[in-house]
Amino acid sequence: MTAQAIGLSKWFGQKVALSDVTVDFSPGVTGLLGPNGAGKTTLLRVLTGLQVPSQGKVTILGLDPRKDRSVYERVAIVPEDEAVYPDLTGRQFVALRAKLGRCSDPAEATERALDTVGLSDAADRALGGFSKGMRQRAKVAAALVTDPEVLVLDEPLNGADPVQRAQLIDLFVRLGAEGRTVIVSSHVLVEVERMTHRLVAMIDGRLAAVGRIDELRSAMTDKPRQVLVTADRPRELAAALMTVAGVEGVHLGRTALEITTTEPATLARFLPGVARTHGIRIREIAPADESMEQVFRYLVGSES
Amino acid sequence: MNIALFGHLLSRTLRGKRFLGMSALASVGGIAAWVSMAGLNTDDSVGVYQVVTSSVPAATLSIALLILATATLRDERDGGTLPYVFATPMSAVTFAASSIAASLVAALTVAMIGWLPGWIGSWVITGSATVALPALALYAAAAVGYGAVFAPLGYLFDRTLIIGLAYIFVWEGILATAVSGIAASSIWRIAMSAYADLDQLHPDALDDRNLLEPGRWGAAATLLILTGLGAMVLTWAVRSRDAV
Repeated sequence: MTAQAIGLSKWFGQKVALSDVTVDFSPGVTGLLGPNGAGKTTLLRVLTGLQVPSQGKVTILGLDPRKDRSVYERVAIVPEDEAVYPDLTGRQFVALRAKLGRCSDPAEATERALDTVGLSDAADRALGGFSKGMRQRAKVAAALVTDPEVLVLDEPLNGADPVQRAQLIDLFVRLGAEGRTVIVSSHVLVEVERMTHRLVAMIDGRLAAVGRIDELRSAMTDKPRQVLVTADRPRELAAALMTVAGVEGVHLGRTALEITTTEPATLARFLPGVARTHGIRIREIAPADESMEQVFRYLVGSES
Repeated sequence: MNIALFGHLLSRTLRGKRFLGMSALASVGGIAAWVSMAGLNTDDSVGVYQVVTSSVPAATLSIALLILATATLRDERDGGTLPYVFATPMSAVTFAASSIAASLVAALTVAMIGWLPGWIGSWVITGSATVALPALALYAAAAVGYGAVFAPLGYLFDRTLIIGLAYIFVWEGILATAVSGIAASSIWRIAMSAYADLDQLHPDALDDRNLLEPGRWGAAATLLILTGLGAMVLTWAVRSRDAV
């Protein structure tokens, strides 16, 4: 584990932004997910020492960022704010971070970071003239310039066009695969799903769930599971399955059935036999509710 | 001190229209002195220069320095760019020292620019380039004092201008004039004491003010302490207060 929050709370006057959050992050990409106002940004700010916890403790690479600022040699942040220095060029901006971050060769580090995000060609233009997506890439380059072990990105895909999003997602996945701890917050589920299956979900300042998406879904025993079955005679299969214990409903499509069951294990045991008995050929069985969106919808639902 | 942070904050503070505007505001006292001296004989000109220099910049220069010094870190906070300079592996003391130094140099730069019209005017009218030289101490001391005190305010509070203006007009302008015990906390009076120690000031330049006694060395020592206190407060704030 490279970053950890223990019993973390943060309030601003009467408003509680974080409430007793205990979570840790390990190398690889972790998606920090939650609706707007869930406390994602506050968690990341406290985790990286930009804000002081009202209660609880934070360590990142074993250090308290508020007490030992040398941690910033190994930790980098991409803040949510769109703000950059509009009169600086992309190269000047990244070079500034390289100098402040004590890079041994700031010029070389700057070129490497710009190249990594594909901004080398536009690096001599003022940031004020950049598109939102290019600014995001410049911010990512400024974070990468110190070659950090922990990279914290708050809504890094905001404003990026689809091509830029795909490139940034690939980059984050690559950085995670290199063994860095990459924490990416987003309220766009599909984006997070493309980066990682490891999820930290927050709702109303509290931790709603932590783990892999499939693990989280499996742990939700109170929620019926949905299974998609593709078969050559779906109508007959639907009728036959209604007698299986736990099956609450079957939604019939043209070639597939969406089965809702409270006992997925029972369904898995009986399904081959039912199909064989009725001479139905099953082509595919797949979970229909293990997408991040579905899991998150369940989480939000259970929290509210 | 971190040269990269110092250079960055200094260039941000002294950029563009604000630099021009604050330079113009700081120059009001010098220009007013120049205009007031016009047509007077040499002796009267010197007296008028001293009277104007000891009064008009108390508001104009102070406000210009307030705006500049608070902007050193406030700009970064308000602009959302503070994380880029805050999340860096320099100690809180280094961060604070670099920020205070940037604030002081920015304040001194504008103070020097503000002093120039009065110096040129006094030279043109009296034929002597030394008439305005003692006032340089006034401008420089004010720059150091306000720069050291207002830079931490820019980090700590959202409404720094209101707090700063209250200090300049209510605390320094009214209370320090009325209550001699409060005068010791007036940066302007500390700076004036250095000026008064370096020049034989016209009585009207000293009129109705609880002028402090410390003189040039006392003022220097006080400003050194103020600068140290400013750095300490900012160090504490960097360690203990939210950066964003």
